[in-house]
Amino acid sequence: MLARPIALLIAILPAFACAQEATALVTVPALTPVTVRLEELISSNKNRPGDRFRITVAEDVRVGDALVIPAGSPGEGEVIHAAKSGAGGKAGELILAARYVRVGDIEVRLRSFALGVVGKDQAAKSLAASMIIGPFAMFVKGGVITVPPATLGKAKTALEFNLPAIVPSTPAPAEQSVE
Amino acid sequence: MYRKLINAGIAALVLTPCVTLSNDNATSPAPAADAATGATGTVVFFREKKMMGAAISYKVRENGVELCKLGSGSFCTVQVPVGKHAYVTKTEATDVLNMEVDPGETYYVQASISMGVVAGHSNLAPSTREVFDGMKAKLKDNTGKDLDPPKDKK
Repeated sequence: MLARPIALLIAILPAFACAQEATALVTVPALTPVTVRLEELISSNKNRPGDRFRITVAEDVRVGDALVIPAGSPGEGEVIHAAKSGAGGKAGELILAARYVRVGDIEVRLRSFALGVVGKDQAAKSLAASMIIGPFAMFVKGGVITVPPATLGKAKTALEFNLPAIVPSTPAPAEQSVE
Repeated sequence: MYRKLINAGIAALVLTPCVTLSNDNATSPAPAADAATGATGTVVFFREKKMMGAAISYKVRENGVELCKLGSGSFCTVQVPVGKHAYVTKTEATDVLNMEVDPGETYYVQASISMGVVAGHSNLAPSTREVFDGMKAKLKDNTGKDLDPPKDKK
């Protein structure tokens, strides 16, 4: 007798849960700009090729009105080249790449990293004189090259991705006291 | 009994599209855009015209293959596959520059020579288009010139 209601309940409950998860997918084109922030100090004298470092997304990425990659999304970069400064005035060298940022379970691959092109924060400004900007991030200067945390850079999405549009959680309305 | 089975079947049918949709969400990358943007990048090797070390020329190699011969005041433009590369120069000392090339991008590498005991130390360092453009008018295009063919490995 109870079999039918139970079966219907089993059928309906996951459907509700599923409907909540099934947010609309938004196509993020390849080469969409992503501003990223370094979360660690990188140095030409301490880091080695292959070292990984933490990055986060510095600004929301939107496609139209849809928020697809929220600021703060974590990711990872890699040291491509690091050479110590040497005798005879040999400059230190550093080439960095942004690998990916994570949105939920999805790794959004990045490419064409250029560090220091944003220059919104003081750390980046102070480095401006010593930076050389190209399609990859690089710092060449006589002596040790040090990239401080919070330095901003630009990358691009490497591929076309389908990401769920993120609905920002609306804060609960503040209680109004009526006197 | 049959009714239970029918209800369970209905439940399974309702659930199936949900599971499929979840899997669709999990698969992130759409078909690669790398192919659309080109499978190669460009590397420009250049060396400023200077008196110091002017008599010394050296070659840029990768895996033993000669890519560019750089004398004082010359440059080469090389198309390379996307991905990681290690460019090597050797005079008195060996220098290696690791790079990663993205499709359709152009990278600039400045070669130089510093003081050594006999022949000087060659160096390759990442540079920019602005630096290259600033001296390009005084540079000779040496792309594809003075290179030995790859040796057959037996």
